Amino acid sequence: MAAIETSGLSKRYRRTWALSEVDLTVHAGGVTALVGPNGAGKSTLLKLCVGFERPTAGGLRVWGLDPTRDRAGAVASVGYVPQDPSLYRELTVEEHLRFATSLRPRFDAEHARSRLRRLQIPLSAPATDLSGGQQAQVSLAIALGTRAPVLLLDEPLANLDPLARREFLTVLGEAVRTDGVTAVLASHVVAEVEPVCDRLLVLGQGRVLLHETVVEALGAHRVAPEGALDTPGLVALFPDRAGTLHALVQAASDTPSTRPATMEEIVMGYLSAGRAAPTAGPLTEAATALAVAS
Amino acid sequence: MTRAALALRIHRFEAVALGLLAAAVLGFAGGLLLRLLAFNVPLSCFRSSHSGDGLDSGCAGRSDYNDYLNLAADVGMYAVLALALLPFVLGLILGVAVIAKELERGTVALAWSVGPSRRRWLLGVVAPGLVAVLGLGLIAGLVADRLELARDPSIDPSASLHHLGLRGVVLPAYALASFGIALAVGARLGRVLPALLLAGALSLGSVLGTTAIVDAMLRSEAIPIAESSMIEVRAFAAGRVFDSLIRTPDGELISWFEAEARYGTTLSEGLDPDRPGYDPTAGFGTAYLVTPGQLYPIAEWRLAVILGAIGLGGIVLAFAIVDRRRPG
Repeated sequence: MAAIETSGLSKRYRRTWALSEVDLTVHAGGVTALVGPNGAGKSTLLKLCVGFERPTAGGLRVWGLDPTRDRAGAVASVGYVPQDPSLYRELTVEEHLRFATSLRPRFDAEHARSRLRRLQIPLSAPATDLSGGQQAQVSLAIALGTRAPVLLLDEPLANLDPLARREFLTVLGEAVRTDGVTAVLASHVVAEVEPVCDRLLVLGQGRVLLHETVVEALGAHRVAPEGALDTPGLVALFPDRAGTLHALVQAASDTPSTRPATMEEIVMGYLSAGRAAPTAGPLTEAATALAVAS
Repeated sequence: MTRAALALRIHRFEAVALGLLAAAVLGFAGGLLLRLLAFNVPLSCFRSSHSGDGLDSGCAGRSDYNDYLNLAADVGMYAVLALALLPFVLGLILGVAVIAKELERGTVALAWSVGPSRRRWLLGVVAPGLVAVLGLGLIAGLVADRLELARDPSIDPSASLHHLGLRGVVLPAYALASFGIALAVGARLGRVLPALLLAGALSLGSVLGTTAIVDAMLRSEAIPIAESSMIEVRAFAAGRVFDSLIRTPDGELISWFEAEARYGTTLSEGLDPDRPGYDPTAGFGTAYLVTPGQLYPIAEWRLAVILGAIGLGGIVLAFAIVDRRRPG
């Protein structure tokens, strides 16, 4: 079953297209790392999934439900963790769980409570007394307490220190394994999310640049030394940028001097290509970006 | 803990501040009311003051009667105004806090992502706020009505147009109107201060506009009453006087401007017994265009219904906006 399915999904804010004709299927299970620079459309995609935004064009289904037509159903299928924890400063952690229960009768407060106890987060503490990492954990515990099959995390690591980030990811990875949820974790720092993700979804300028499993991506991309590839020839062969780049690197794998690319290098390569216009020049840049570590 | 209790916790700053304000205003008005009642001025004093024959000797001789009148008129007016403003302010601040504060802080992202129904969330915060402002508005209205009676016990407040719009069921209607408007504006703007300013201006405009409409209706219902009958029918004491007119010898009622244009000096001679040439047979007289105080309940409910409809419209609009808007 597809956790998220989009077809020609587009979203425009005034004159800017945040998402442009995105066709995408995120299959159920595991963690998908949603990466891209600021303004790539990561938050917009997640907000469309949780019904916070309406598409300008195209369609979207979350766990089989269209958030535009059946927002209540779609929201019931989703647990959402925003970048800022959005907790009430007047409420304690325990009161947040009661608040969630009052809004969602099926909310599993005990599930959330047990997770927070394990992390030694005091339930009686006001939200404002918690550290940023603890607030993020409360936010995650509430999202997991919804028992929703899809978990959407909108850059929850952005404001956390390295230790809190690691702890957050550990809890997330464990929750995905034990609860069997499908998580989409947005981040602009690939290295951070790499240890927990199964799939890689790269967004750039509102378009999907790459969507593969991590295993596929790592197996298919190699870094070539600068000047080792016949770039102008490849441009003529593969005019589509993402496809060209993929093929470019696949072609590079035949060159003995190449080495396997890291996830960060793959993402950087696609983003470099995605930023540029479809001309010979940018493709050279993309090749250079991929060759940079050689 | 119920949803209402959680809503109260979330908005506890506003709840405490407005609770203190309400306690201060109601305490002030209530204290004044008890003080006025403690004077124990006989009803005859008030009746004689409206009789046109002057205050009876028993009242004029009371040393505390002037104190009573000063307190009832001067301090009493402040109390009446404070009571009328209280529900307006309560509705405005609570209405803005309910949605705009949450949008500004970003907490709606939590509420809207956990709760599948935004209407359920909004109902959970609107209902306690609405109960609070309507309840306090009703208490303020009752105290203001009681104060009106204490300020002049010879006049039945339910049959007097005096202080229409400053007492009774109009006060909870103010609360409902400002609450609904603040809710809708807060939901649209999502920022507390701009919402407070805009909602305040719109609420004030609604109150003034509604008052003007009801005044126009009352004016259309006014009837001419001869000057000689004004005291008898208690028109000055309980009615609303809109205009002073001239009754011509043939019984026609015309304005002063028209009468002067038509009759010139004859008019003055015909009206003033002290002027040379006064002719009692000339038949001129003065009359007033008056809406009787008995229309008070109708006028009061007109105000309350129009303002209540504005308030309910604001609440419905707020639900529609919340249903469609983004959290940030």
